[in-house]
Amino acid sequence: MRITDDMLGYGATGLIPRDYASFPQGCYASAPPAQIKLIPRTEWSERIKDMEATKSRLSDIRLRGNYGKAIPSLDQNSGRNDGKWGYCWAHSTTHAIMLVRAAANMPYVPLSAFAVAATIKNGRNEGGWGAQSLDFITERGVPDQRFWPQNNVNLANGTAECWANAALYKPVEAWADLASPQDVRDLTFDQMATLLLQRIPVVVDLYWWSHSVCAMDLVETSPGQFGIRILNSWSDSWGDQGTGVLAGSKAIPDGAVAPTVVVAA
Amino acid sequence: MALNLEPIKQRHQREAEWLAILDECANLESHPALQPTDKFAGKVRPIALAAIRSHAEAQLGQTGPGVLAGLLGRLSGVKAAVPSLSTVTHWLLGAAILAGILWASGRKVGPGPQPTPNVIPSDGLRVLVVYEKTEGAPLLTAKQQSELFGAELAGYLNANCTRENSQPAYRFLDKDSPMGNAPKWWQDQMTARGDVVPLLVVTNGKRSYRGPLPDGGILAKIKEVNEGK
Repeated sequence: MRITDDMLGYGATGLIPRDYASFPQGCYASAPPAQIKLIPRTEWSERIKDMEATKSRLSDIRLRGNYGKAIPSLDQNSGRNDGKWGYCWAHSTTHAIMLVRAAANMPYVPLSAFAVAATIKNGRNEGGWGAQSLDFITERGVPDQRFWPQNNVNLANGTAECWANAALYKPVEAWADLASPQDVRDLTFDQMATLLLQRIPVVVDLYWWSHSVCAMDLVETSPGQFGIRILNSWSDSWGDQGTGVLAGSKAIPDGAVAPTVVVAA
Repeated sequence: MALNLEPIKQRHQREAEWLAILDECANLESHPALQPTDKFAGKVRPIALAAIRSHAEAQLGQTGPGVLAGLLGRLSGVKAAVPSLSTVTHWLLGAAILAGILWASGRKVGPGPQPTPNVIPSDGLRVLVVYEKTEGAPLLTAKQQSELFGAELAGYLNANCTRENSQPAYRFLDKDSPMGNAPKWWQDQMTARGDVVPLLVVTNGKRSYRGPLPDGGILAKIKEVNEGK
């Protein structure tokens, strides 16, 4: 489903532009994205068709990753505070962790993006960016919702037991800083596309939308034109079971990180 | 020095690539660069190291850098203990290379298509794929990725794999995945970290396969093991 303008304001967002002065390129531990060997654009169309035919896209894996059912989209909108939690930037990364686990066929566990965002922001309703949450999750993990429910910012949830559980869902390898602050944005898109073609989800920050989402698939929107299918954090009632397709310049990330390897289970 | 390679040949009798490697190594002592002459003695170490690098990389390259490191480490250690290296150069080289081969033969996954002779224990069908995700290159081919993550393979594995807490027992893991939280069976099989990747491990407790991930025909290989066809 192509995302239309009337779908953009459905829920809360929360992305704030990354402060590159305080958090410059390279400050987040990861493999340098320059090492990504790009899959040539000439191969994209054929690969996408093959992935669609074999139902081997991340979106396909998501639809069967919960014991044969779909992994539900996390929702940053419900709960207190009039349903407006600006925590998209933690949901996008948490979704990516859940998809990495699903691709490995690890058991489905609903994880708490609120634990990450509320802890980073000390319970405040504030925006952030994807790399910020990935950096936190890489260090401390993200807990099962049994330990820290979604839509809950009570820091008392953060017990030792909670964070011991969170460590079971840590990424140990990631591509970070795919996007440069200003330039080589085409390269950024190609890096993202390459990862998506390898079934690696990408956390995508989009300044035009003030939103951070999880990219799942590379999509050929028209012959030779490419976009991305995203998993949004506005519940499954938004778009097509919580997903939608961004095309053209709207699909080019302003910031992007990609967890690749997580603790096995 | 005659290297006794027969036990290793027996072990890898079905694997043509291994036999070729072993033949090469058996003849290594006659390599001109390795003849122990007085003139050669003073320069023995760099020449020996270069020769080992050349042969090890060419012949044992598929086993990874650990083999080469092991060879060099062993040679250096013996050299320190035996200063008059010139008189024993070819013995040391032979021993070092043989040690490397023995080490590698115990660790390396055979390149041949035959299932491993020892059945991997399991209470039902289990499948593990070990691969590399962050090396900078797509180390799975497009065909492998489509089959591995596709609905057809998932359907078969979901229907046939044994269950662990309701989860079908198959995993596709990066070779560097921390395994401390995984059930013991997966931990045991991930001792394959030093093996060639991508690696496929299939067992149903009666038949098993541990070897390279096919580039096409992954499901057929799994069915071959599980159904004996």
